[in-house]
Amino acid sequence: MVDNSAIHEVNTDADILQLLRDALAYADPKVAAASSDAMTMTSTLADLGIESVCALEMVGYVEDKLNILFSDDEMSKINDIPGFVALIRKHHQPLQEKKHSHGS
Amino acid sequence: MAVSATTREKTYRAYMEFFDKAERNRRWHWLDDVPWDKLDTTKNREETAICLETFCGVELYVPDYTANGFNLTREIFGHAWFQANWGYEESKHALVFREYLLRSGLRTLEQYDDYEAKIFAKKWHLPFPTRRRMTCYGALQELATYQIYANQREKYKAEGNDVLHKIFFLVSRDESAHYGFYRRVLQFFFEEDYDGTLADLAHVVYHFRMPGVGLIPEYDDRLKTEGVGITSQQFLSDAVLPMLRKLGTTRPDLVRALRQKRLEEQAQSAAGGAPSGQAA
Ligand SMILES: [Fe+2]
Ligand SMILES: [Fe+2]
Repeated sequence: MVDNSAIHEVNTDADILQLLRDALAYADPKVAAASSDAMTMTSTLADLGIESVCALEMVGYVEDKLNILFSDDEMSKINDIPGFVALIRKHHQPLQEKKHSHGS
Repeated sequence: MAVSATTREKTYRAYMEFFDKAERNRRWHWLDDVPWDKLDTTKNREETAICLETFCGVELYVPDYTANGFNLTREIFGHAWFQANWGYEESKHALVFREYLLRSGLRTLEQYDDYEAKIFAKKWHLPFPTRRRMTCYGALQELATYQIYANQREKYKAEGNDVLHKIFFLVSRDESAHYGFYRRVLQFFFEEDYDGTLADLAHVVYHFRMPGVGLIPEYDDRLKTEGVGITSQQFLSDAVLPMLRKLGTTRPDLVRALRQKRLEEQAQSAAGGAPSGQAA
């Protein structure tokens, strides 16, 4: 199980990128050691050497960490970091926005 | 692993249904049911030859597939008899691809014979040593093969190549039926031992390779030709995830099992041992 007791505050692209680096380190430490630093907002999963099973585990990590669930269809269409980030943004409302929406 | 009387009975019934449908609805003849008179050699492309030659090569390992399969399943009537029918159907696939390569002139008999000699110079070995893991493998492999052939079927339909369209219609329909049988047997395993079967499925997904890897000459080069294979992403979206839904299990459950598998294998390799359950 992923330890999600301390859910990150994920607001910026940099926050999400860090979350994805953590997910990669969790899913495959070897691939993470080789390509985590190279992960940017334009990388494809193939560029980073992330195979489908590794991506599956990364998605599981992110879902547990943020307490969200992607559909299988959404999950299987992720083939780059921008796509991954967009999907996280779709499902995860940042804490600041949540506070704002409560007040309106 | 002991097989309960209930599972034996269910496997027998699954086989009877598979065989009944095959005999009534799915039998085809490689000469009579393919419109060879419409063969148009102006449609010949080297990419087509590479695809057909590769598919034919994989199908040619029928002797190894069936010999190994029989040894694994011989004590379970339904599964072993399925193996016999499966081998018969797969043997026609190699035959019909061979026929197209030669009749179209895409390959000469000499070229084909050279290729076949290279194929038979190598042996296919069981990628997993147990019936349960091989059932996981069979289901995924048949579904992935179905997707590859169905893509070819649609491609040749769009191109107006009636001969290849019909060939891929017939072989993809067979692959779909093979997947259906394996999935049912896998369902029986899940009903008997959910956690153990999920762990085996995770193991197979993690180590999955198509049967041609390491056997077909220049396999990696061949994969560069569109249609020869599917990407790992397509394998996930078109085989693994749809199968999980049909089996009534979930992606998060598989991810947890994969994680467990990875931790076990890391612990084993740290202790200097080989990962368990991999065929030699
Ligand atoms: Fe086949
Ligand atoms: Fe098949």
